[in-house]
Amino acid sequence: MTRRQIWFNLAGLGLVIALMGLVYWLNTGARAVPGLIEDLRSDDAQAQALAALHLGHIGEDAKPAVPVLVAMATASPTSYAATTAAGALPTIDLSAARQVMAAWLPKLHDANPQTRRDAISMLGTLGPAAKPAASALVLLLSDEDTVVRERAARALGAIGLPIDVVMRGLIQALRDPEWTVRQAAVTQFSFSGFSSHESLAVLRELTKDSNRTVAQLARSSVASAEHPIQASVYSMMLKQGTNRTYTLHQLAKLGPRAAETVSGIAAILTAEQPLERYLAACALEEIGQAAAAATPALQRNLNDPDPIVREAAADALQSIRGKGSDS
Amino acid sequence: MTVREPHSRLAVLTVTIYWGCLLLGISIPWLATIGVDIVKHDQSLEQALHQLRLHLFAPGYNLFLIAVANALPFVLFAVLTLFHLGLAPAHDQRLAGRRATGICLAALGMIGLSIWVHVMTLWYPDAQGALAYLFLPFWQVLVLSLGYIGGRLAGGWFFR
Repeated sequence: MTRRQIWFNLAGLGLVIALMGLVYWLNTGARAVPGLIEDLRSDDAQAQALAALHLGHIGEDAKPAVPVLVAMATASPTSYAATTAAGALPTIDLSAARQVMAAWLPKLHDANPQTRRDAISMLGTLGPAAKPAASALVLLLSDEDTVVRERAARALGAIGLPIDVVMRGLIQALRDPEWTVRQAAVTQFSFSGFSSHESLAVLRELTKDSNRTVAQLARSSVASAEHPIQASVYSMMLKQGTNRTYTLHQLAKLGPRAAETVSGIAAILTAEQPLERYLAACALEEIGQAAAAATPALQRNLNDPDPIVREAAADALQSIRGKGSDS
Repeated sequence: MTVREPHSRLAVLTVTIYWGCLLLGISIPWLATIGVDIVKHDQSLEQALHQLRLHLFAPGYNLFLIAVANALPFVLFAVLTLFHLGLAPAHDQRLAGRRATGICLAALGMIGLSIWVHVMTLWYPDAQGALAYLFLPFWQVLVLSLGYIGGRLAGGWFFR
C-alpha cells in the first residue's frame, strides 16, 4: 500500500468517528427531547417508560416534555410508564412534580383501595419533592387495607422528609400486626443509618420477630444504626459531585447530625439544578439552628427563580431561627 | 479470471481487515442484542430492531456507548494493521505472510472474544453483567497481543 492509500483509509476512520459523534450529540441532551416526546406519545409502554427515564436524566432541558409527562403521571389507572413519568418530573420541573402530587393527594382517601394504593405509589415515586404529602401518608398507616399500609411505609421511606413526620410514621409501621408492613418499614432503616433512639428500641425488639425476613432486616438496621455512615462521608461525596441528589437526601435524613456539612450544603444552594437547590434547603431545614452559617445563602434563595426552592428556603430559615424553641 | 499481484492481494487483505474490524467493533454489541432477542426472546427481526433503537441511548442501557467501548480496541488494532500490514514489503513474501497470519489470528481472537462476551452477558443477565463491558477492552488488548504472537509463530512455520 502507498502512504497515500494509508492516509486515505485513516481519513475514512476520522469520518466514521465524526459521524458517530454527531449521532451521539443529536440523540443526547436537549436535542433528543422532541424525539423522546414522540416516544411518550406512542402506544408502546416500553418506549414511553424509556423516554420518561431519559427525559429525567436530561433534567431542566427537558421542560418541553413536562405537559405530556404530567398528563401521563396523573392518568388513572397507573402504569409503569406513568410511574416512570412521575419519577422523571422532580429533576425536570419541581412545580410540575408538585402538580402531580396535588392531583393524587385527594385520591388517598378514595373508597376504592386500589386507587389509594396507586396514589400512594405515585407519591412515593416523586421522592422528596412530595414532602408535603408525608403527613397524609402517615394517616394511611392506620388504613384497613394491608397493601395500602405497606405502600404507605415504602412511600414514606422514599420521600424521607420531614424526618420527624416520616420517623413517627415508620415507627408506627414497625409495630404493624401484618409482617409485610413491618418488612416495608424495617427496610427503610436497613441500609441508610436513618434512625432515632425510639426507632432503634423498636428495631431491637424486631430482631426477635416471628417473621425471619423481618428479624434479619431488623438486625441489619440495628447494625446500620450503631455504625452509621458519618456525615463526613456524605460531605466528601458532595465535594466529588457524585449523585448529589442522593447525598443531599441522605444528609437531610441525618438532621442535626449533619451539622458539620453545613458549608458544603450551602454551596449547593447556587447549583444549576432546582432539585439540588431544593434538597440543599431541605437538608439545612432538618439541621435546624446549627445551620445558622447558611442564613445569608438561604436569604438569597428567597429570590430563587423556582417557587418550590423559594418555599424550601423560607422553611429552612424559619427552622434555623428556631421554630421548635418558639413552641 | 485475473490473478492478483502479491502486493495487490496484501493491500486488499489489509483494507478488508481494517474496515472489517472497524465495522465489527461497532456492530458486534448491536448484532448480539438483535441475535439474543430473536433466538432467546422469540422476537421478530422488526421487534429486535425496535428494541435496539429504544435502548441505544436510554440511561442504564446505552447500547451506543457500549458499542463505542467495544470498538476502541478494534480501532487500535485496525490502525496497527494499516501500518504494520499495509507497509509490509510485498516482495518479501515470508515476512508479509508471517505478519498477515499474526494479524488474522489476532483479529479472529478479538472478534471471537467480543461476540462471546456480548452474547453471554445478554443471555445470562446479571446485576454485575455490565462489568463485562468495562473489562472487555482490556481483555481485547491482551487477546490482540497473544493472537498476534501466536499467529507470527504459526506464520513462521507456514512461510519458511
